[in-house]
Amino acid sequence: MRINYFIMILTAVLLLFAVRFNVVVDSALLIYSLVNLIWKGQSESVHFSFDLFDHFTGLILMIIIPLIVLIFKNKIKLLNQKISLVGAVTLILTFIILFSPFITNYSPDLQKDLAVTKLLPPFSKVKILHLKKETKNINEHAAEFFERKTELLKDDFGSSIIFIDSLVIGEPLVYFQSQTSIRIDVDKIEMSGSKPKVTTKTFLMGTDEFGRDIFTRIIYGTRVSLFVGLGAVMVSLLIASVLGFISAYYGKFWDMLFNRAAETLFAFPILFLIVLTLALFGNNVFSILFVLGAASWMSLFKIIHNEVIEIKKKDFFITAQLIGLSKFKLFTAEMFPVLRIPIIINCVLLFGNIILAEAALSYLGLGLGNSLPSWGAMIDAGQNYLNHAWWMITFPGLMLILTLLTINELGSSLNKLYNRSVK
Amino acid sequence: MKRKLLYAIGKRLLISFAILFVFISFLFFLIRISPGDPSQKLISPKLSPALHESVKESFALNDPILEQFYNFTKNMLTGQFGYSYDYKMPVTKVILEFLPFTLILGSLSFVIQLALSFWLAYLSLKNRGKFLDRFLSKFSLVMYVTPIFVLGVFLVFIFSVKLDLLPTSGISSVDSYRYSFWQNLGDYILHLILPLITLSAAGTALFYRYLRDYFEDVRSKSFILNLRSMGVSENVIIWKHIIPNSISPLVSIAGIELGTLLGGALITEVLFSLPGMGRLTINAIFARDYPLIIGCSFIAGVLMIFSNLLADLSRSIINPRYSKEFLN
Amino acid sequence: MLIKKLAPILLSVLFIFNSCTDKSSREADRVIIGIPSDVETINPLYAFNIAEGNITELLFLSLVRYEWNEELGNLEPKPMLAEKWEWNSDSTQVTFYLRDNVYWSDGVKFTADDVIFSFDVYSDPAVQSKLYGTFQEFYTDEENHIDIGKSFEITNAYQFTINFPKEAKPTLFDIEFPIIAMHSYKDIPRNKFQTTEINFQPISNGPFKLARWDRNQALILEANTQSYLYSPDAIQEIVIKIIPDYSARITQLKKGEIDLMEDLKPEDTEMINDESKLSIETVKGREYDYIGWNNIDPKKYAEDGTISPHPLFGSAKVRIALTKAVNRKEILESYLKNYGELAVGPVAPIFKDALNPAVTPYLHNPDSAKILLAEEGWADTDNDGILEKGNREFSFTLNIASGNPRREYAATIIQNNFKSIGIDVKIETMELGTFIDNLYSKSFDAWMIGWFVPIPLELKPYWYSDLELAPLNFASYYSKLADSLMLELEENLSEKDQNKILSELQEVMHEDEPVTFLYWIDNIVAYNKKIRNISITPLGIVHHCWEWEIEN
Repeated sequence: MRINYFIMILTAVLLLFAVRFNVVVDSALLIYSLVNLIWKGQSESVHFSFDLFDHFTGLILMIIIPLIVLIFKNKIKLLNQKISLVGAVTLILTFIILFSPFITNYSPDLQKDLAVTKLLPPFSKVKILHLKKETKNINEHAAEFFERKTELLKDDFGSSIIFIDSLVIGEPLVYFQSQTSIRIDVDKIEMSGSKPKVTTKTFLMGTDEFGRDIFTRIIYGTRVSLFVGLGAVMVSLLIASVLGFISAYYGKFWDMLFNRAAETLFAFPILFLIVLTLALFGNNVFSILFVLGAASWMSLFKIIHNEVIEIKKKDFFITAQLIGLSKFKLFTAEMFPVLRIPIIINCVLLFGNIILAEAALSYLGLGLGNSLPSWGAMIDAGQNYLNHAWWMITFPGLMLILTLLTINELGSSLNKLYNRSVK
Repeated sequence: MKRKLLYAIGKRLLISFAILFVFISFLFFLIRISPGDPSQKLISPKLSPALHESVKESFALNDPILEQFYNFTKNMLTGQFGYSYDYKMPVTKVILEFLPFTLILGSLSFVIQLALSFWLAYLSLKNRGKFLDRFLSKFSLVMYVTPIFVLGVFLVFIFSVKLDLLPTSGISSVDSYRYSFWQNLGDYILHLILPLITLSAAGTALFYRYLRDYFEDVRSKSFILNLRSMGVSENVIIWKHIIPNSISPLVSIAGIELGTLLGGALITEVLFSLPGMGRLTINAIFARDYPLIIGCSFIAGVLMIFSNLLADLSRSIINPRYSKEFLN
Repeated sequence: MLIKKLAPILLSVLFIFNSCTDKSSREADRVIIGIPSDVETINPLYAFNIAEGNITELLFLSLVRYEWNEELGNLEPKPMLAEKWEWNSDSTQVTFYLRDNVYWSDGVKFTADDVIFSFDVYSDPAVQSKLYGTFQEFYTDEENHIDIGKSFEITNAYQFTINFPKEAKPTLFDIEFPIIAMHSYKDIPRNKFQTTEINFQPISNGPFKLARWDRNQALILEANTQSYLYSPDAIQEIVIKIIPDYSARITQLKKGEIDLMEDLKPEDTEMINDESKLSIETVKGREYDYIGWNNIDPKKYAEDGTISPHPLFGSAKVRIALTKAVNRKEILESYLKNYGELAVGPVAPIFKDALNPAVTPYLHNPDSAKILLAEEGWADTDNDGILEKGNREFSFTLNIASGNPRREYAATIIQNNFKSIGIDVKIETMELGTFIDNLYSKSFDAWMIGWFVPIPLELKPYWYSDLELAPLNFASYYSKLADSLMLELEENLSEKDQNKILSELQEVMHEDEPVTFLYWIDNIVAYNKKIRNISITPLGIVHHCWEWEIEN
């Protein structure tokens, strides 16, 4: 059987739809009541949050993507190509980024009842008691909205759940966490029939030292890690193209200066510069992204610089210049198409290096730390618990290595493609 | 020709050092405008504010920044880096304590990376398309993308903790100073095995991939096909034609790698408690030991300039086409 | 293939090296201690941090030494270089009788001249010693330099007297510091003391002397056979090995490459307990963590130094509510594995007599926290899950310094605790140097840090309201009552009166809760059971290490 991209995309969306049907329905209902609220002119009681937006876009994409794929099946050549391993992984990563809240219905920061949830091995099952929800006295529509919202958007602190090891039903209820027993009034607990409602949560990849679900963190970490990588690549691309054009266009002095500077920086132990800046000025997502980008513009610069000089010698360019195209036009119409491929190849490789650098920074305590789930930070946390919990380093490590492998493959196959077309 | 070469080298060094100076000056200002105060090393109720003031005074941190910069420039030009705040020794002396180790570790690792990657690429070339080749090309990719600290942690876990074959850290046993020369040598070798593997893995993989690609590239050139059709033996083709033609592009990459290695292998040094420039620099940064930060950066820069120069020189020796480029 | 042939040879060579190094490294009578970073100096004048202090105290002796009295929870002075001492009736004069059998490591005899030289040097502004500026009880000039002529009278080489000004309140703590050798330093200009070569080949008089120092690798001390503290049965060598990576230290401890390490993570204790050759002990009550609340508005303070209450943390009620919101017990159990106890205030539980038993910790109670916050006007009126009062939302940034796993752990839990009562907290991790800078400039709203408490207890530098006098009052705590109590403590009081005031002070501070006191943290020490006669007190572990013995 031949699996092409078309089939893969469709299957993935359908699978997600089937597995997370209830989440999809809940999201739809939530958005319905949201629209309803706004319609009724009570928008002041709505608070837009990123989570809400996330579900909303996810839902829309889930409808739009199959439509696009179906409509353009014959127009886009790629869709009919046989899928490669690289393509499949890239596709999965894209899916993870777009549909995080649908893939995992859990908050990446949820940590509660450490006595039960700390450092659980993969496939552990934990029982959950549900507390009765507080009812707020607001008007009907708003109440509906809030109820759906709390149902769908899981909070980070699990205000309505208790993780337990076991339970003794009686008056009052007694539940066990580790070795301690705790009593709780029955009327605080949500019941199903005469028994308390107990559900189980399976931690696919186990939990970390805070009792957080590693699977969920990896899913959300994909976003963070790839965002940092992409952002840094953008920053270095910007710097590289500006400097590259200046040096190729304006005379010898700039050319010499930037080239030597690039060479100096290229081989300078750049990690020190990064560490210095982050140590002295603080490390958050944007400073890491910016510093990593600013520290790796050199190879892109070299490529752009060399290509521009090559292009300047070419006939078509000289003709275009003679016709009197403006500099901007020259760039967009003549240079960009030629430069595009080598730049993309280099960006792909740079992207891999940056994700790797973020992991190294985490080891030195200058990464994203605990505030955001990034793979680098998770691997760093995992190496501290190597003796206690092998799963903490293994899963994010595998994810990182798999992604980097894919990115490298992508880069080299692009490279081959480009070289072939040049020849 | 010789004069021309010397002139080219001199000019290049001059420009490189000028840029290094600009770069270090940039560092100077970066450090000065950043938060943190080197005289406020520890917060303790016992330290009196009077001490704090007087220490700050003696570090000349109360002077206007331009005056500090003037002194800094003067000292840089005369080759004085001043006293390290933490080590309470001249910066040059501190660096001289740490530099030899880094030079040894860096060059050892460099040699290993080159030799091993060359050997593996050669194996790949000979067994082209067979299992070994495919395995090596996949495995090298995995090695290249594995974060260095993950590799190090696993190596220690396996070889030191589980198998108890190799020491976990340091460069020598605690009483190595009582050993004979040979015992000491053995001691050093034992201690350096894991750090060297950790430090060399990614570089080896990278060189291997480059070499393999170059081999592949040259191999598919028409003159090789001609040779082969003329019945020249495969060994001769590999040694006389493919390898010499593939080496020169590698040299410039190798030069960069050498520069980086000699600047200090930060993560490896931290992981294995090695007394190298990487750890020295990072500690200086965290302790805000301004003179030492400047000194370390300067040394790293100088090493980098020379290893780049070395790379370009050797490239032009291997391939005369580059010497023209170099001279210009 | 060449490599294949060579491999067995190489391997066998390795094993030979391995075996021969192993045998000779099993030296008897030696203890190897693993520490995370190298000391910067072993000159007592500049031994700023704890590790440096510990090492210099093995090399250089003081006039008196202190022993910890477990029952009373206080310090007892014991003779060291001074065999005995006598105070005059109004304690303005103290006479010391020195030991006459102490030799410096180069054979020169120790005399009273060394002691007076040390006082001179420690207080000299040109030297910038760690104690500069602290000799306030002595006759000093305007640069805080001790007036030697006025202060000291030498009777003979082994007897001298210190005169204090009339209004001074000197204690033995004012004269307790390591004495340095006059003959090794007297020819060096005072401003060159920091950088002189002698710092690396010190002439010392302690139970140990420096044998070797490989920077960032190891520091080796060997027993000083001339010392009066020397005993041939005790350990003969201490190796202080620098191992920056924590996991590497643990591994080496288990493998027997090091014999002792401090600051174990509580989660590793189980594993260490499983090792039959290792033993665990704890140093209690020297260190606590707290969440600092800026009691004053940092913006206004930065503008013109005005003191006005912080919009969030200005009220004691809010701070108490915040303390109640934190599930300290969970952190204590899940991370500290009960190696620690809940803190109520800055007085460590080891000071048993000073502790006020009536002051008990605020327990975790989110509901009561919510009620307290509601009383202060904080409520979630717009149903977004975050409390607000007027236009101000209850959201802030909790700053922590990087590199401390415990605080990073606690911050994550605490963030969730606060979120669950409707307080939005962001955590920002920054590098220690930058963090401290911000503490001094009081620009944080909230932060988490710990204090290592001095013995004897000191409170004024941390909690007094005059921010010039108390630079460490990062929270800018202000209470008239607490101020007056702290001033009273400075008087020369009997221990009983002192404890009474301390008791009262604890009550006042508990009601104000200037910061959220989290917990006292045990310093977990693991050591090889072959070390005998080891005594672990709040004063540290190597405190009496010249008495350690090795069981072979």
